[in-house]
Amino acid sequence: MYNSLKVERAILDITQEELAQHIGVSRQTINSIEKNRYVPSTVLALRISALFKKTVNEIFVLDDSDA
Amino acid sequence: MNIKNILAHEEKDLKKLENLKLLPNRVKTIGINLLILSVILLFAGKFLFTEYHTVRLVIKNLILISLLLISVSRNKIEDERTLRLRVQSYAFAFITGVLYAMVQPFAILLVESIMQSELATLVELSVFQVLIFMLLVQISYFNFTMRHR
Repeated sequence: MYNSLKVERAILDITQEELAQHIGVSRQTINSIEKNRYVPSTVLALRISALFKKTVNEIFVLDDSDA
Repeated sequence: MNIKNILAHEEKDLKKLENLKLLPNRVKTIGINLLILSVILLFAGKFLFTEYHTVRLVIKNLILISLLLISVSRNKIEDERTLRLRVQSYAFAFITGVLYAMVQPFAILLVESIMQSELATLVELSVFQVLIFMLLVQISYFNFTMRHR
């Protein structure tokens, strides 16, 4: 699974720290998600997508390895 | 299963993880200070105390307590990733602890038999050795994965 979190963050012009504070996690968690090292829970993915006013599928996308 | 059910199910799973009763973050600082003090006492104890063998046992217990305090205290921000890595680190420490307890006596025997074949004996591990190994593995694994994963 890959995600466009970094791009979405750049569009809103917010830092990892600011995003982390908005959704109530640590900055390292945001960093890990952006680098595809950590797959967030459904709840966290929904919180992120709500913040960016997009659907979860627009931010988190399955790739061939998830098939 | 609709989205509300999925969310409720996942919230329940996260709540279960959050039920790990952790101590406040400031306890970690207390644990680190206690560990430093215990290690200093362990080395300096020979010169400070006459009943060193008794004191040594107390110091060993102090080391275990301080490591346990570090292990079970919260991070500044405790989120779902932190909890997941914490659970993974306990599982990893348990498995490596069992392997360590099985392999280490034979490793010592092997080394001793190479060095001085006549004196080589199979020595059992002490509880302190196994516990300190598991706590050190847990703390190291958790801190390493927090930074690199």
